[in-house]
Amino acid sequence: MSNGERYDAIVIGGGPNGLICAAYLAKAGHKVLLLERRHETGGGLNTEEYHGFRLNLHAIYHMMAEVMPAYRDLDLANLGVRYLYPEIVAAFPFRDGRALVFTRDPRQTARSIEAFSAADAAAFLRMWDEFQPMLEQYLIPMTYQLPEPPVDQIVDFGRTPVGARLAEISELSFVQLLDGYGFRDPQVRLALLSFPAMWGLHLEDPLGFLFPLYLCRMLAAGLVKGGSHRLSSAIYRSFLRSGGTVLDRCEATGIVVENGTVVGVEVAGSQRFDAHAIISTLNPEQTFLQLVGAAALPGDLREAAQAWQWEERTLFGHHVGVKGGIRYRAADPRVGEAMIVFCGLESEAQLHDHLRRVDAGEMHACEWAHVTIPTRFDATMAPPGHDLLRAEAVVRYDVPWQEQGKSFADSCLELLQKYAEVGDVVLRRHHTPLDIEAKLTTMKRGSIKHGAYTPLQMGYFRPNDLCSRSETPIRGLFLGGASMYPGGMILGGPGFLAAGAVGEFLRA
Amino acid sequence: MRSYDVIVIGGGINGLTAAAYLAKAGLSVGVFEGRGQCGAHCDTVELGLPGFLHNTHAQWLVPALSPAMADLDLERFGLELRGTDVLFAKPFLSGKNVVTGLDPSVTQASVARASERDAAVHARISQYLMEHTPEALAIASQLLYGAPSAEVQRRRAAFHDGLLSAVGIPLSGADLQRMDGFEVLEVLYETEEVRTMPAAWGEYTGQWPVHRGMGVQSMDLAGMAPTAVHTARGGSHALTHALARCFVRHGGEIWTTCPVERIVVRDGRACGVRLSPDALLPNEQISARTVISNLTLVPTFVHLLGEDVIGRDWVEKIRRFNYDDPQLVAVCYALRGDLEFASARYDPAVQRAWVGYFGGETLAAIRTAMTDCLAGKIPDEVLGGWFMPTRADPSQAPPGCHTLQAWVSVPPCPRMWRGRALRGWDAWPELAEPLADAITDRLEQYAPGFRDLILERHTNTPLDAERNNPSAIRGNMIGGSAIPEQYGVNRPLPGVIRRGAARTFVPGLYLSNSIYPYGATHLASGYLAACEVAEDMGCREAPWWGAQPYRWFLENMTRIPMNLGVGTRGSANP
Repeated sequence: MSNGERYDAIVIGGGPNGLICAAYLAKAGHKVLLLERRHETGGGLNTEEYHGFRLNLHAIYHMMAEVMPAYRDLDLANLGVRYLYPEIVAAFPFRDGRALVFTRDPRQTARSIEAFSAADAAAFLRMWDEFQPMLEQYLIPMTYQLPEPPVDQIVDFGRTPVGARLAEISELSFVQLLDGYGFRDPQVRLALLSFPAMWGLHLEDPLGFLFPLYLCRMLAAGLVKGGSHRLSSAIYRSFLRSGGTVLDRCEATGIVVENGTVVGVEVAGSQRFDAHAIISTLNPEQTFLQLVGAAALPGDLREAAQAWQWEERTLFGHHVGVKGGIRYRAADPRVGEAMIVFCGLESEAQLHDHLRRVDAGEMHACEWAHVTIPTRFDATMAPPGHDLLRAEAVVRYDVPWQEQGKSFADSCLELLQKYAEVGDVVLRRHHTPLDIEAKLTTMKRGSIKHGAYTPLQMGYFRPNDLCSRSETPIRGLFLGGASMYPGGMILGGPGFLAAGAVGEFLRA
Repeated sequence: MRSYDVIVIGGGINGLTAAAYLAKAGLSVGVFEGRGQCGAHCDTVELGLPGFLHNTHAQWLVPALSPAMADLDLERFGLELRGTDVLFAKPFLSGKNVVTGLDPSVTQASVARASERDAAVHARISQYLMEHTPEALAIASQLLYGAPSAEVQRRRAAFHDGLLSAVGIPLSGADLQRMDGFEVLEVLYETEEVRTMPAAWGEYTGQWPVHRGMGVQSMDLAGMAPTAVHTARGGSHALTHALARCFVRHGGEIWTTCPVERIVVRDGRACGVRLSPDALLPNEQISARTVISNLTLVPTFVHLLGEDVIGRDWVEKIRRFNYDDPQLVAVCYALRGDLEFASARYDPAVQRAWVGYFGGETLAAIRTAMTDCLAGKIPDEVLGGWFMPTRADPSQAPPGCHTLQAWVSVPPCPRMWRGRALRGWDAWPELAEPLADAITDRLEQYAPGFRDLILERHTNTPLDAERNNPSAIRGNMIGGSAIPEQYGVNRPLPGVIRRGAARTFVPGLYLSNSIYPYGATHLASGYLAACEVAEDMGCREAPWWGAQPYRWFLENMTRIPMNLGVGTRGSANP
C-alpha cells in the first residue's frame, strides 16, 4: 500500500555511495528518501565505538580521500571530515631485521628499495614517473566519469602516448607488469604485489590498469580522523541539512515496476514509498533478482544478474585494545611509524604460495597480516594511555568461521607478536567473513567490493554492459553502489555518477 | 574565527536536548563532542555478532515524560518508542512473581495473589492517586522539570499527608522525609514479594532507598503506578539520533572528535572554548555568547576552567565532588531465543515484561547489598536488574533471537568480594569475567535453560564506562552521586548554581549535566538548561515551546506499539 507520499528519488542503502548520491540530489533541490536496513547509516564506513576504543571494522584507508568530488561539493571539511596522511605509508619488516619502507615521497621509497636492489630502485622510479600522467590524465578523472564502451575507450586511449601506454598495461597482470619494468628482488616484488593482493585481487588477472591506482593511490591514502564513520556522518548531515529524509531500520523488500517503469519501493511491513527515480546501491542479485524479481526482468538483464560473480577472497579482521604500548622489533624505527605494516611473508614466492593456500582452503592459521595502529596518528581512537591495533588477513569465505574464528584471531595476535612487543590486551574483537555478510548483506560471501574484480566485471562491464552507466533498462531505476562502475573501496565514484545520471533524468 | 550564539560542550542526550531547543528557538548553536559519536550514555553498539544490538548504557528510556517529545517533535525525527504491556516483573525462587502493568488492574491482581492485605493497601494508594491526579502530576512535573525548591517539597509533604491518612498509615509527609525507604516499605506492605518491588524500582532510578530521606521516594514508588517504560525501535541510540537530526534540521552544527580543553573566560564571563590539540580542529578557539557544559562538574570546573578562573577554594571544593556512588557491572548477552522464567507457570505475565529484577527476594537482602556497596564491598548475593528490549522491539536482534542485559550494582572502587581483598578501581579487569559468571549462574536459577541460549556475552564494568566517557568519572551514570549533600537544592554542590537549576556562578556558563534532577533519558537537565539560556537570551517565548511534562505520555501511552517481540521462543525452550 502506498503511503501517499511521493519522492523525486529514493535511494536504497545508506552506505557511502548511497549517502553521496542522496546528498547530491537533495542539495540540488530534489525531495529524497534514503532507506537503510541497519540501525545506522554508513555501510562499510563502520566505526564501532565502545569502552573508549573506535574500531574501524571495515573501511580504513581511503585511496581517493579528498580527491573524491563529494569532499568539496558537499563541503565535508566543514561537516567534520579531516584526513590524516601518515608520511610513512607501508613497511615490510623481514626476519633478518631489514625492512622495506614505502613513503608518500617516491624518492625516499626508492632509497629504501636501493638497500635491497639498486636496479629495482631505478625501476620503481621509472614506473612511478610513468604512472603519474596516467593517473592525472586518465585514471583519476575516469573514476568520476561514466564509462565508455571498450571500443570507444580504446580509440580514446589511442589519442595520446600516455593513453596508449595505459591501454597496453591494461592487458597485463600485476606480475607481468613487474616483469616488464624489470623488478628482480623477491622482497621488493613481494612488497609491490602486496598492494593489490591485500585487497584480495588475483595477481595473474589482466587488470594492469588497477596497479597505478593501487600503488600510487595507496601511497597517498588517508585515514579519517576519529574513525571512518566520520566520513559517512558528515555526508549524512549534509543530506539532512538539505532537507533529505533518512529512514533507518527500514529494509527495502521490493522495487515496484509497472509497464517497464519504476513506481516505488516496498519496505518490510508492506508499506510502499513512491518515487520517480529509484537508486539501488545493492548488488545486482539483490537489486534485480530479489527486489525487482526475475520474472519482471528483460531476459538479457536477468542473465547478467544471474551471472554475477562474488570475490573469492575476503578479509578477516582482528582488533585489539592495548595498554602499555606496541613496539615493533625492527631496527628501522620507521616501521613503527608506518600506517600499514605487512607481517608474515618474506618473498614473492611465499606470497603466491600463501594465496594459493588461501584459495585451496589450506590456511588454518594467520600467515600474512596487514596491521595498522590508528592511535599512532590519532589519539582519539583509544582512551588515554591505550593503543588500538587492527590486523587484517586475506582469507577465504568457505571456512567454518563460527568454530575457527577465535583460534584464527589468536594466530593473528601470535603472528604479530613475532614482529612486535604488545602490552596488556584489554579488548579483543574479531570480525570474520560471516560477520561481514551478516552485517552488510550486500557484501555476500564477504565480498567487500560487492562482487569480484575480474576483467568481465570491471569498467564498462561493471556490473554489466546494460547498467554500468547507472541507468538500467528499467525506466527510472538506477544503480549507484560498489557493484557499479568504477567499483568499491570508498572511491566515492558510483554514488557521484548515479547522482549525475538521476539528476539528468529528473530534469528531463 | 568560528562563532556561535551558544556552544554546547558534550553531545550527550541532555546536551543535545538543550542544543535542539535553542537551535529551534533561532539561535546559532554548535555542539562539540569529544567522542566520535554523540550520545555516550544513550548508545547502541553491535558489540559482537552482527544484528545483535546492545544498548551499552541507557536501556529503559523515559523521554515520553519530557516536554521535548512534543516540543521537538521527536517522532518526526525517527524516534519510535516500543514497550510491553507488563512494565516490570520480579520473579522469585519460590516460583512466584509480582508484575506491574500498564493497566493498573494487572498490578492490583498480581499484588492480590501475594497478599490480600497488601492488595488493600495498594488499592487505597492507587485510588488516592487516581482521585488526585492533577495534583500528583503537578508535583511530579515540578520535581522533574522545574528548578529545585523548598516549596515543591512542602507541597509534596502535604500530598503525602493526605495519601498516608487515606491509606490509614500512621505516618506524616514530614516523617517520610526523615525515614529511609526500607522503613517506609516495611510499614506499608506485609509480604516480601510486594515490599521488594518498589525497593527494586528505587535501585533502578539511582536513588537508593537505603539513604535517609528516601522514604519520600519509596512512598512515590509504592503505588506502582503505570509509567513510561520504553525502548526505542533500533535501540537506545535512536533517541540520540532523533535529537541530533532535530538539531541539525534546525541549523545546528555538530562537531565530533572535538574534545574541549578550555572554556575561554574574558572579563569574568564565559565567551567560548578552545579545543584540544587532539581535536579534529586542533587548538581552535571558538567564540560564543553563552556556553553550556554537558560535562560533569569536575571536568567542567577543574579541567576546563581551573584555578586561575575560579580560584583555589572552588577547585578544592569541586574536586571533592562525589562520584563514588555504586555503579553497574552489566553483562550484555546475545541469545538464540527467549528465556523462560520458572515462575511463568505461576503467572505467564512475567514472559511479557522487558524490564525486571532478579535476586533480592527480601528487603533485608536488598538492604544488605546496598549497605555492602556503600562500604566498598561487592555484595555476595547476586541481585540486580534485567532488560530484554527485544521483547518490545524485535528489530534489536536477528529474527527469533533476543538480547538481554543483566546488571548488578557495585562500588566503583571495590575492596572486597566473596572474602577476597581487591585493589579497588584497578580490580576491574580481573573482576569482569567472574562477575559475569556469577550473574549468568544467578539468572539460570530464575530461568533454567538460560545458559543454553547464550551465543555470546560482553561485560561492561565501571572502568569500561569511564573509558567510554571520561566525563563520567568512575563510570557514574547520572553526573555525580545523588547523595543528600549533592541532591535537591544542593545539586551539584551548594553555591555552584546561582539561580534556577543551570546558571552557574561563572556568568555565561550553564550546566546541563551534574545538575538537578540527575542525568537520565527524561532529558530534564537539558530541558532546564535550555529554558534558562533561552530566558536569558530572550527567546523563551516561542509559540511551539510549551508542552507540559507527562502530557505526551498520558496522551500517547496506549498508542505506543507493545509486545512486538513477545512469544518468540528459543529452541532450547520449546
